[in-house]
Amino acid sequence: MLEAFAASTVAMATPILLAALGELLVERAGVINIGIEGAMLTGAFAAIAAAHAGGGALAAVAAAVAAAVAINALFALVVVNLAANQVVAGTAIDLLALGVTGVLYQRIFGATGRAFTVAPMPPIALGPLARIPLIGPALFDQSALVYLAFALVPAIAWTLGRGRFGLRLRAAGERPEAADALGLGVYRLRWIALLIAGALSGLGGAYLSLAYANTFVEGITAGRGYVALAVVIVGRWNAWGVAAAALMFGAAMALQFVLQVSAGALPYQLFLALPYLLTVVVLAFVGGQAAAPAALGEPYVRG
Amino acid sequence: MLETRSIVRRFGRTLALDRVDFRARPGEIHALIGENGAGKSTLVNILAGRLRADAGEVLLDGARLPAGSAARHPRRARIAAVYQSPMLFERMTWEENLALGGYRAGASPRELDAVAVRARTAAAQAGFALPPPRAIVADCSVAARVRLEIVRALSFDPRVLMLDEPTSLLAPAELEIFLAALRRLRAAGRIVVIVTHKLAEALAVADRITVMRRGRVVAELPAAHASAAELARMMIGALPEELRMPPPAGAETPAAAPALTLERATLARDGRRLLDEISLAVRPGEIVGVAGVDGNGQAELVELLAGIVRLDAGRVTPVPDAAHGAVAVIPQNRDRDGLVLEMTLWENLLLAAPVRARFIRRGLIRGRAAQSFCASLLDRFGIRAAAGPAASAAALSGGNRQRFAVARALAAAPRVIVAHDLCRGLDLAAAARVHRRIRDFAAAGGAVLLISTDLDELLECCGRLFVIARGRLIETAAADRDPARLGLLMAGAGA
Repeated sequence: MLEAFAASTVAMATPILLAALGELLVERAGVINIGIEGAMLTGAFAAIAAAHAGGGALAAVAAAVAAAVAINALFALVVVNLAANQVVAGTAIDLLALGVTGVLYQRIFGATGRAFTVAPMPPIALGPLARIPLIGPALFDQSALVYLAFALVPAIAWTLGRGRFGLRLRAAGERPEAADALGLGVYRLRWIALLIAGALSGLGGAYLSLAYANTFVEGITAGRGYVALAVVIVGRWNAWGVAAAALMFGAAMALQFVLQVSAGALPYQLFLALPYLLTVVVLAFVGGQAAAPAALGEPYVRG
Repeated sequence: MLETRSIVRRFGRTLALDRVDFRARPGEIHALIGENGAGKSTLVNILAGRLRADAGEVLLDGARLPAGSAARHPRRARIAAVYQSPMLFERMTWEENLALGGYRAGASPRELDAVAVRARTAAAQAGFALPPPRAIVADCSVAARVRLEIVRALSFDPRVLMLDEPTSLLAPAELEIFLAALRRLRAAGRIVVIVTHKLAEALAVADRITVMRRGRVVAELPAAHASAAELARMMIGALPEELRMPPPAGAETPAAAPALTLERATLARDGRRLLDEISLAVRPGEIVGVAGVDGNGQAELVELLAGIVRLDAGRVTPVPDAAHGAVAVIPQNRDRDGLVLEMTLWENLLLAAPVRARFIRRGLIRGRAAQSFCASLLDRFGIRAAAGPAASAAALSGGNRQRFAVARALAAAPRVIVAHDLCRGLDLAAAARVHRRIRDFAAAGGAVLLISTDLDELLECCGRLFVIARGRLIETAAADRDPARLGLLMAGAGA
């Protein structure tokens, strides 16, 4: 059972981690993207729609990425070029995605409730590593998206901590007017961060529909985008911290299965609520402001 | 040569620059002087490519610079600027700050070490030192930050280096090093443009001086042929007779009982004493000055007197309490600590408890009465607000905001006024008017504590003068009343 719990933790953490790593880049560049939930949802839907249209797993993932990138491009246009309020624009994106995916889902799949399912993404076992007791199945017998998500952690940690692009991104998030005065191009940096984040949320959404649920239902993301936002704060705007926080929330989600089996007396809704309760409790105790990028969420207009 | 031809720039209906022709030659330090609002910063921003001109052109060595190019391609345009408000990334290391400039490096330890080597060479040429490896900018002194900005500007290898009021934050001793660095840059054949409203500085360091007034160039002359009086006259037209200062009110202490007393006031944070046994008494009719380099406890002293922080030891009489209103505070950062920018002027006025008390009846604000009082105040203090009392504080210019902060403090009819950098952002004439108001307040029996980094202001206005250094307060003797001697005390040499 512990083995299953570990595997489930990693699986549950993956979509959150993908989205949170994208959000990490965006926030370090000074933008807060609440629309992340909508981008994930759009990705999850586009993946299933592409599979329904006869595409293979790769085509489905590509469709998810393209759709979520498009959503983030819209967000970037509104908050970067038009300097709109980021929270309002992000919320609008969430509502837009919820509505559009709901309507399109009914148009394509009908309102009968007969779900369209896909074959789950096959796990790729990494030879003898997958047979290590306890952690083997969790870490080395997962789908390609899981490996990608965790491989991105050191890559993004390096970029943000040591890379030239990451340094410029941080500059844009600390003092955009100073970054612009040095010719760094704040608008361009924020656009790039948002497009990368779009791709990552699309992957996270695709993972949810293709590898986890094997289908699409309205609101399938169930707040995972918001959890990803919390994960960035709990992870102190640092890739390693984000990975640890994503695993913690993954564990809380995996725990609901274990507890539902072992503690039959308690109402199951309690366990379903566990990850969200954890979000509230952890955020209440993590004082985030000291580590947050100084210009986070402030609209910046070039002089 | 750096040259502008007939630059025009409007902000709304205000003509900020009116056909400005400006010339600065290689191997020359050129001072651009003028009052606040004369258009100096606008001109610098246009030269630096951060603002577009409505008409006219900028030429560097005869070649026309496309609008905005200096900001987009600082390396190619070869014009670098150090701005009035520091443009550093506070939470990064200084090496990272420089890597973001002309060195164009990443943040790996190897790259940052390489940046540090190049930066130290450039700094050594200019004649100053840089912080220890990997120091965070927020922990660096103000002087170190100005140096970092200059080194970062130099990292672009600019032909033109522009410095917008760079010395306003420097102590006298640091100023000398800084001016020496400018002379070295001149010797290297660069065009150095320094924007300032301090005449002594312009005369001390510049080869040529351009004077601006109300968006126009009124004179360009060699510094050797200029006198401070003549420059002042050109900057402000003529200083009205009523604003000429009477001599300072001597050092003798009036006999009345103190209106404000601090006894061994001590404030500690994280084991460090930010205020270290400060004792001070300010009597009615007296203007007492506190000089010091920023960050030596002034902010804490003001917060203490505003009732924001509590003492760890010692005593303040009267007990600071903004609701009581015996002490009115004019904070250094009026936009952050003094005004709520989104609110209207009359609402801001009512934020002062003693004023508010006059306009509240049975828990309700008498809006119309408050507004007409606010209007009379705006009128009396010459505060220009297009929409009158209903204007938002944000709509006021910096100088008018400061005047409003002073007006509100006086309107509260306190016994004591505590002012931190009273004339921040005010030009000579406006500063003279504010000083006049404060003197009148003291003459009518008010007590004033004036905390400032501007030694000229303190020497001109204050009777007794103290120096604050590392949280300790030192009373100065009559022999200390001279900027060089005070500079030593401010650096902690006399403690």
